[in-house]
Amino acid sequence: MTFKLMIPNTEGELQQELMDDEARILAGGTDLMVQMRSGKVAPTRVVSIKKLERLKEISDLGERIRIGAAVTYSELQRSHILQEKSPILLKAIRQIGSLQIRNRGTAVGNIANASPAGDAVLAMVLSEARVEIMGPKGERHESIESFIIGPGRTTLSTGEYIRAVVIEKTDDWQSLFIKVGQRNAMCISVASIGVLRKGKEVRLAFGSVAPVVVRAHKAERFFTREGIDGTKLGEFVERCVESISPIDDVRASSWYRRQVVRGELMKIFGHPDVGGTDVT
Amino acid sequence: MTPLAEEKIREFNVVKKNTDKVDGKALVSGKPVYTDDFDARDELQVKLVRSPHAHATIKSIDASEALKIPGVVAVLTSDDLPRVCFTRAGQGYPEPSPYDTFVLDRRVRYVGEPVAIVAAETEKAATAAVKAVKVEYELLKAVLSMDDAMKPSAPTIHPEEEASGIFDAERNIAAHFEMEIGETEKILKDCDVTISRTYHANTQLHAMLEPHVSRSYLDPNNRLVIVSSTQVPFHARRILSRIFNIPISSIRVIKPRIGGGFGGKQALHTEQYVAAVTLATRRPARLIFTREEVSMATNIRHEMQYEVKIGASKDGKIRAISMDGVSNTGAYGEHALTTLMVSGSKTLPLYNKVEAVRFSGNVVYTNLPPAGAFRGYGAPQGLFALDCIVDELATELGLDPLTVKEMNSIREGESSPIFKLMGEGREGVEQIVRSCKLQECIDRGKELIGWEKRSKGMLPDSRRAKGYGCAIAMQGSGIAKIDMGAATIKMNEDGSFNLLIGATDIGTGSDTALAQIAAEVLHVTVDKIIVYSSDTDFTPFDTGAYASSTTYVSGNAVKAAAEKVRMQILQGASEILEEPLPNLELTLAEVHSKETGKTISYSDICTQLFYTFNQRQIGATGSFVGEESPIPFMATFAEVEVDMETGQIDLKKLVSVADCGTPINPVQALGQLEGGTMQGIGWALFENVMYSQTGRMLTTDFFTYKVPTRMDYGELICELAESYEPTGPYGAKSIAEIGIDSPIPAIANALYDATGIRLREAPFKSEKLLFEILSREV
Ligand SMILES: Cc1cc2nc3c(=O)[nH]c(=O)nc-3n(C[C@H](O)[C@H](O)[C@H](O)COP(=O)(O)OP(=O)(O)OC[C@H]3O[C@@H](n4cnc5c(N)ncnc54)[C@H](O)[C@@H]3O)c2cc1C
Repeated sequence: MTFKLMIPNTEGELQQELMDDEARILAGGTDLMVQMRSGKVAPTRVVSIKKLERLKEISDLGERIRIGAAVTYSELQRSHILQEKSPILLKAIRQIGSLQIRNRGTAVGNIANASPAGDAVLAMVLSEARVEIMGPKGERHESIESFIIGPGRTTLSTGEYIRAVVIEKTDDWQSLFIKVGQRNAMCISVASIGVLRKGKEVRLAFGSVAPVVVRAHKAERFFTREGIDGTKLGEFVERCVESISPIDDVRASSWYRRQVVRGELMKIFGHPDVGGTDVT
Repeated sequence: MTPLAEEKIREFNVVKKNTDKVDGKALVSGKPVYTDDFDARDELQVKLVRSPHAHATIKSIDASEALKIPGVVAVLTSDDLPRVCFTRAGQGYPEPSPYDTFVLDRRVRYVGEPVAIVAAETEKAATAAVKAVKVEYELLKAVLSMDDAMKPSAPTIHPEEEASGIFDAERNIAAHFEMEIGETEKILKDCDVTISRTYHANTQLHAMLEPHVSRSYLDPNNRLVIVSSTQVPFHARRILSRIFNIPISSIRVIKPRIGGGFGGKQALHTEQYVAAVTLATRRPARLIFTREEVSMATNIRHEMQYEVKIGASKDGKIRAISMDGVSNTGAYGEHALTTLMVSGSKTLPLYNKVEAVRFSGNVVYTNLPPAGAFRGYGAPQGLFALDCIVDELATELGLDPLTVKEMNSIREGESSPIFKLMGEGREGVEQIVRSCKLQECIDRGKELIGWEKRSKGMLPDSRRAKGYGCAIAMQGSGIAKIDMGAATIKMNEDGSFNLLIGATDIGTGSDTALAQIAAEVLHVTVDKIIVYSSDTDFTPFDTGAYASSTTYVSGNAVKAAAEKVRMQILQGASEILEEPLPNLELTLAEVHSKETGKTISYSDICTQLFYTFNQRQIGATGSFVGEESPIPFMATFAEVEVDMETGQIDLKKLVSVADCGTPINPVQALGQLEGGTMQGIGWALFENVMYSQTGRMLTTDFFTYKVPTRMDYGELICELAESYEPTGPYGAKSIAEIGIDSPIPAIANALYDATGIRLREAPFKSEKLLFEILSREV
């Protein structure tokens, strides 16, 4: 494993470094270092963004919040605006890795890594996040759902990088984030579920049960249209399960992943005061 | 050598106190202490070319491309090495394991097996060379499960004619054992209730933090020096001597600090390769395994399956037990026979009131990674089966499981004929249980878990089910009449002592505990004892760190040596003070006359004996071999909650109370108990070894192989019962292994209590449990 470590001082220099196909951005490195070590990726240039102060900003845009690419999970957890305005993202972050991982890892790194198990990604999918991309041809914006196209795959092309992600404030929604794993600490989940609920409206997303984090749009519409009283609950849950396509891997079988999603949804929505006790 | 009765009640000066670890500061401050921390000039970096196939013969090896890589110095294949058959297992000699291994063979028997040794000036060149060595294989049918191993159609894994000690090579049976006391089948038929069940414990990885590593070089006199992360330095020296046909006098093995072993370093994994390189090139060499190599190509735990039958009368009295097992030793038979025997000999005596008992089993070869020694050494696999079937029997009888365990289990002063019939690899020794605080462990455990007040069933959220389980366990303290340890103590003129021990501290804290024993006998503080351990040139012999032996066996050796030195000190003082011996006694670092009140310090005694008066060295060697293997006992209680919708298992609380005799260093003893318990919890719930369809281990890193962290289970309470073992040093017996024996059965029993579902295959996966919950609903 040999590579050059570049530490640009400006976004202009960053842009230059990224014109190389073999270059990779290093944010927290909690995915990149692991992948380099296992030989999954072998960049010749590793470009650190730690000196780019502007990428470390969290800003209040009124209805939305903008999170710079170099902001770590721990910084997000300490941010008052996130604490007040995005309970769902904070709930997801609380379950990511360990303190050490949260001190280094970034939410934007989680997006760029495009893992179906990405916990921050799941919260951002629920928050209708838009990814702010900078590249040789200038700036572009894309919704997170269309930005991530497969496991480890995004629409980024050579020279492009994520500058920030912009999420909706969701403090007026009830929120819930559940991660099911064979163990609690530092677990990459068997399945994860996120729910936002406001009256008859609901947003649902699932992790680790499809090639990408998925939103259950059809089921959401069903919920608004039909509700979940009586027999409707079962129908609603089945529509949710239809939106996922889990695989067998070392952590669990696809059968189990489906069962977990079904079981958790019954718990969340089957509870007498719909939305479950955990939904706050 | 039964100690004086007053010792029992005496307050100790040093023993039974939480002395700081003698090596603690150096370890935590990052001083160079481990094998890999040292460098030698001109050292070669060694890497191994490994087989991608589970079973194949090697047709040819072409190293020409590899040798062209700048910096590559040598590529050794089986043609360059002596064809000597041996066992890598570090055990008493002659070893009870078959000789079925070569340093390199022309056949490979598991994915990851070494086929060639590469040595280069740099690690980078060595890595490149490993990829450049071309090996042509002829694939053979691979045996990837215990079931397949004994089928008539199964290929023979060890056809080589040099092998010896294999029970039935043609049928892939590495070892076999059977014994019976009384007429088991007849009594089973005669019982009010008889049940039969099968339990299966899967393998486990040691996951010690420090990987296997060793370095070798020739000293100025051309003697081969090996520095190794090993649990068995003296066995390593003997085995290397055999393989390379060089005299023991020409080999020195040094063990520096070790970052954990758990049995994984009780075999030769790296030493033979660096030795081969140094002998071939006359240059220093180093080999350190990657985590992947540690996982897939050293040793793992023996997977075992037991079919158990148990019969009892209506009132819960167990009358007969029969256990019939299969154990998977993988590609090689290290520790094959002995782990099988221990799974019976360190479990069945718990129920010593039976009228008949039978135990038998086969240990089979497969084309999976070789199994070896692992904390518990078969006992946890056996106990999973035995404790759970007693639990199931109690349910069948409508009795409380704990009551059935209590009324049938062994107590102080009792014995079991199994002690004599089953040793390790041969007959054992008769013994009575001189210390057994099992009932006290049970009573205290009940209190700590809230056994009497426990409520089971669905929690108010009508989703989670709660349950409780218990298990009782035993282990041993060294292997009687086999494990020998020795210690040498010499005195210095400032009143300090060098304690030279063959005993091997692998992170367990044994250097500290042994220093405490010496300090106690010699009436000094621990800082006056300078410990040096495990260097075959400088320390006396010891079989090594295994079988829960060090505190008991090596501890008794230290005590014997210290007692001799104590006599020599008194003798010296008597000469100097001109006082008869009976007048004299030791006080703190001084000799004092009860008659005249005259006092002389250790420092004065030794200074005079060195330089001016009746000149000589005070020093002595003591050794010890156990006539018996005193048994530590333990009771474990588990409280679980199961999410009935997902099968998620939440271990809310686990309590283990153990009787280890006197804990020489209580905080270290508890550390061993907690560590073992945690490792048992991991095996019960999280640690799951998986293979591809071609036999390649998939779970070789800590992303895929989940060792629990402290956040993965609830409250853990470990305690030690007040106890005293008359044959132990200051009343001590062992604590190193027992912790791992009981979590699996205790959790299995709790899961049953919560859900009514009996899981008989460990680890207990949420997925499996949910499947059972759903199948029951249908
Ligand atoms: C022990 C451990 C536990 C973990 N637990 C979890 C968990 O519970 N949940 C979870 O979701 N994840 C987990 N992870 C994964 C990882 O921590 C997260 O995905 C994290 O968000 C990655 O962020 P990072 O800043 O470290 O990314 P990096 O590793 O620095 O980068 C990840 C990838 O994104 C690229 N990249 C980074 N920034 C940019 C950018 N601005 N523009 C374009 N590309 C970019 C990099 O080149 C790289 O390919 C865990 C990892 C470890 C090691």
